[in-house]
Amino acid sequence: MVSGKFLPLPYFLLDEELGILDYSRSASDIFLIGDNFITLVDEESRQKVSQYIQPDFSEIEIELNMKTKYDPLAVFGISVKWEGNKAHILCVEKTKEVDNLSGQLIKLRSRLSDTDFELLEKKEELEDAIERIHKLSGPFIPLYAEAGLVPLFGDLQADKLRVIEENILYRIDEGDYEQVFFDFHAVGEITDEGKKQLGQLFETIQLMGTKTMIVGLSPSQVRGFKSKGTVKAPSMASLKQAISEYIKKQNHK
Amino acid sequence: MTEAWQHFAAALLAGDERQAYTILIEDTRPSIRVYKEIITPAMYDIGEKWLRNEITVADEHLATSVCDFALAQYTFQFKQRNRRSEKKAMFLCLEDEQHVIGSKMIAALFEENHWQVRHLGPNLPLSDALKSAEQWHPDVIGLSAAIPYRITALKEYIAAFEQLSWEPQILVGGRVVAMHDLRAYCGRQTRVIYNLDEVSAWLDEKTEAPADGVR
Ligand code: B12
Repeated sequence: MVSGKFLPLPYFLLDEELGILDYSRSASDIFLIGDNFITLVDEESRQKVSQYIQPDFSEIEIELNMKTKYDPLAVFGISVKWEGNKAHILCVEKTKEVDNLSGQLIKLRSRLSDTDFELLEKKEELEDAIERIHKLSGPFIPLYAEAGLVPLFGDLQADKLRVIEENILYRIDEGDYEQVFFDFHAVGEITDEGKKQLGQLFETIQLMGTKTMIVGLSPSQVRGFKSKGTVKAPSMASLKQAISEYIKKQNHK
Repeated sequence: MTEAWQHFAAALLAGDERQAYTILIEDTRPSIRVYKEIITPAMYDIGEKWLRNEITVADEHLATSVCDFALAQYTFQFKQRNRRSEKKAMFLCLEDEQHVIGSKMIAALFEENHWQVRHLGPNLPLSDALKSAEQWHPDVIGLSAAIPYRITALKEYIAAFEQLSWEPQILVGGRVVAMHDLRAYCGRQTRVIYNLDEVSAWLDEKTEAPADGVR
């Protein structure tokens, strides 16, 4: 039989128990060779060895993680051929190939996460812009020392009102206002949730000891306003009228 | 009955990222169960298939990158920088460690629970990790290691992070924690986490603790 000593690849001749009978120079260049092939194999690849390197599989190719002198987890393609009760084993290292592939995938991945991050940034810019717009849809304007005006703009949904509310409550708390006018002239539609939210807002303001006055709510908008806060807030048709009444009352004090 | 994780594993091996993502996003389970009952078993199954000689390392690579992609898309819904949150968590894999899927799921869970989160990725040398930590001052530093050869490095990382002046909480997870008892290397600030349920319990604990300044 021809010896495998000078084969240009790691080669082993094994017995049935995987004891090493012979090996090539290239094998000893790469591996620290002991008595048994199994010691060259990573612990977590060993089940594969006992399952597939056995005479039942007379010719088979498998992959194993192997311990070389340089790398405790090098990937190898293993070709096995049984000749009676002896196995010829040829090992081809794949680590480089695999590393290249994984390098390409890593690059792809980082590009992906960059786009991901850019998207996220855009999403947050948008959210910020929406929040600013929401805030501008219900600014708080101090009219007199004790009275403020909140002109509302556009359609009113719950999330918009939540942003507006935060600002208004903060200002009222800070300024000690006696009366706040809510002007609905520039308001389009109000969603059901929005109506609930408004009712709650009015109620909170009233609990803080500040009166609320609703101005310019059209009959179609009033429908569905049943909350305590809204019912308790008097309303008037025009802002001018509301303010002049307020001034009159102040002067009579 | 074929389970969702089996469909997911099949989509990964077929390289079908759209299908993989669809399986995740259309599942009605809460995210933690998607991680625990679909993604984790599918990845273990990929490992098993390699052991059964049904797939090669190259297949495994492609499958994982599809998984990575589907996971990134799935967790996008929870992505928010939570800028108003006072709680900051940083995650990383040790130097040379490429097994990153597990810690990505953990990071997404933190994000979903309104933490500010930075995942610094796989393969992060200690010096880089320390630099990031010094700059950002995270309250939590999550370390992940899959391969037992990294245990020496893991000890070094833990020791170095335990020296940080603001005493962050260090969480250690990944495959190695189930294989080796690491508690001897862990000081008071460091905690070993064995699975997703423990992560979620830990998060709940933190959310309830008022001393954290959490809303
Ligand atoms: C996918 C995979 C890969 C992928 C990883 C890609 C990626 N982006 O993650 C790729 C193909 C790149 C890869 C490469 C390699 N791999 Co690999 N890989 C696997 C595989 C099949 C699954 C790993 C996985 O994703 N599991 C699923 C995740 C979700 O589980 P997990 O990481 O344990 O995470 C859970 C917990 O641990 C926890 N957790 C994780 N991190 C953290 C962090 C914190 C802070 C917390 C709290 C919790 C936590 O959260 C998760 C909850 O579900 C395993 C097989 C196995 N049985 O694990 C082999 C395996 C781990 N790989 C192995 C090997 C040898 C390698 C390579 C060295 C060679 C090779 N085969 O290519 C390279 C080297 C990579 C490197 N330098 O690190 C061996 C390790 C053997 C050993 N002795 O340790 C294994 C066991 C396969 C085997 N049987 O031989 N691999």
